[in-house]
Amino acid sequence: MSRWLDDRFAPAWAGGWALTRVLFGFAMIDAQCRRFRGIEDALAAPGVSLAAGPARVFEKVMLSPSWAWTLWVLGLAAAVGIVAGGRATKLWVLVFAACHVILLLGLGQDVRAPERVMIWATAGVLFGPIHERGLLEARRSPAARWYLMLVFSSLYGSTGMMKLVDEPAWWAGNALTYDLVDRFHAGGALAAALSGHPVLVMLMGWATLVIELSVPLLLWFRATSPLALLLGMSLHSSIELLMRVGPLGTTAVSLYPAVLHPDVGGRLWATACARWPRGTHRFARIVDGAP
Amino acid sequence: MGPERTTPRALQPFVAAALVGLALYFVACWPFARAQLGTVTLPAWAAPLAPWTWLGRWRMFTELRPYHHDIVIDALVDGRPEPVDLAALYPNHWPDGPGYTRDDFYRDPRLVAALDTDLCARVPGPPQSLRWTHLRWPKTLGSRDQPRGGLEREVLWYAACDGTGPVPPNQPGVP
Repeated sequence: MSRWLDDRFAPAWAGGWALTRVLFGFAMIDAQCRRFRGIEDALAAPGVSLAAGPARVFEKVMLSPSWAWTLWVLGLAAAVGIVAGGRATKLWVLVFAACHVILLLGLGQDVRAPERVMIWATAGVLFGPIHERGLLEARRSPAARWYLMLVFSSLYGSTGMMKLVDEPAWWAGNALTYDLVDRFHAGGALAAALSGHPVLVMLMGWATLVIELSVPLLLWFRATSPLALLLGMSLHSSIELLMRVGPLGTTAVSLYPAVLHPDVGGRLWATACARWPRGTHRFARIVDGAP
Repeated sequence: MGPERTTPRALQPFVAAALVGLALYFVACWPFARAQLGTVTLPAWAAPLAPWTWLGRWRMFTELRPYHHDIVIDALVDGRPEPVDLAALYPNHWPDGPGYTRDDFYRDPRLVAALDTDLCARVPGPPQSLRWTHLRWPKTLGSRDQPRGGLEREVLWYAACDGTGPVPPNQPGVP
């Protein structure tokens, strides 16, 4: 058992975490700006406490515009701190999470799938070595990566299986067709135009099913890890282009460098260093704080 | 910090167990996600566990949704319905649209009662009651314009402004 655990917990190339830290920070900046464009607008509704959901405390303690803006700026500063990295990175993650949560609940904002992804992602980056410098040349525990892989397997696998088993309209293309003209989550020019082409949308629906069902399997093998992440990026890019689903896609993709199999990532980095030594050195200084 | 480090040996069994536990949690959440979709029925003993599965339920654009939905409220003043501009009174919008249009909202008696109390106080009249109507109309494919053709109306209930609680339509004395 001890030998088995030693093998499982053997240190692995940790360079992916350096890039994930930067991307995660930018994803959180995007989430903060996307979500809270108008603090006064949200607070202008006297009945905003109606939408506070289970956070009953915000029915008694209402955020003033000044406090809301203070939290917004503090959260943004914390997200910038995540991008910058260093020993205080995890503290910045906690500060960002606290500000974002208070704003979401205090302003009576919706909490759904994008927020669930952010919760799991925040736990993942706290679990990982994002506060360290020099990760591109370091090897660390693979445990945090496994955690993220479990989260992604659940995220893609669960929703894909439900489409497969419980909604035959996905095979016919109808489900996606109607989603493309949703009043709030889609309805843009390209999405609306596509909804009028049932065969094309049916193929897009099939592609969605194939990606969501295959990524949870492909993710776990070294040879197919890059393919899994490329498929995931194509799915999230398409969703970002056609629909409005908040920061779910950017948050998920920001974690991909940490999820990529470390042997693949380490080899890619070594190849890049050999081919572009000055560029990679500059990259390492900016992203990873390397000397 | 050295170049190579991993989880301390003493913690490795616990971390491994926690990861296995996480995997089992996600597996356990799946039937709850299907139950939320309405395709399976959970046994009675499992119903209290549903809130604990919130983090692991991934229902995202899964079901067929061929209709748009909306909620309108009319204030009944001296028996005459006066439309209430909910968007002007409650401009706080969720990514899904106005919060009050979500079934999570208008199926929560506590939130509905709070909205009723607030509206009864704010709407000029004053109104004797509020009429909640659910609208739905089919989505128009291939077009950014989504006209409200084929509009279906369903009166959900009447909420008296004297605080006696909502009354379903088709009850005696209800307009």
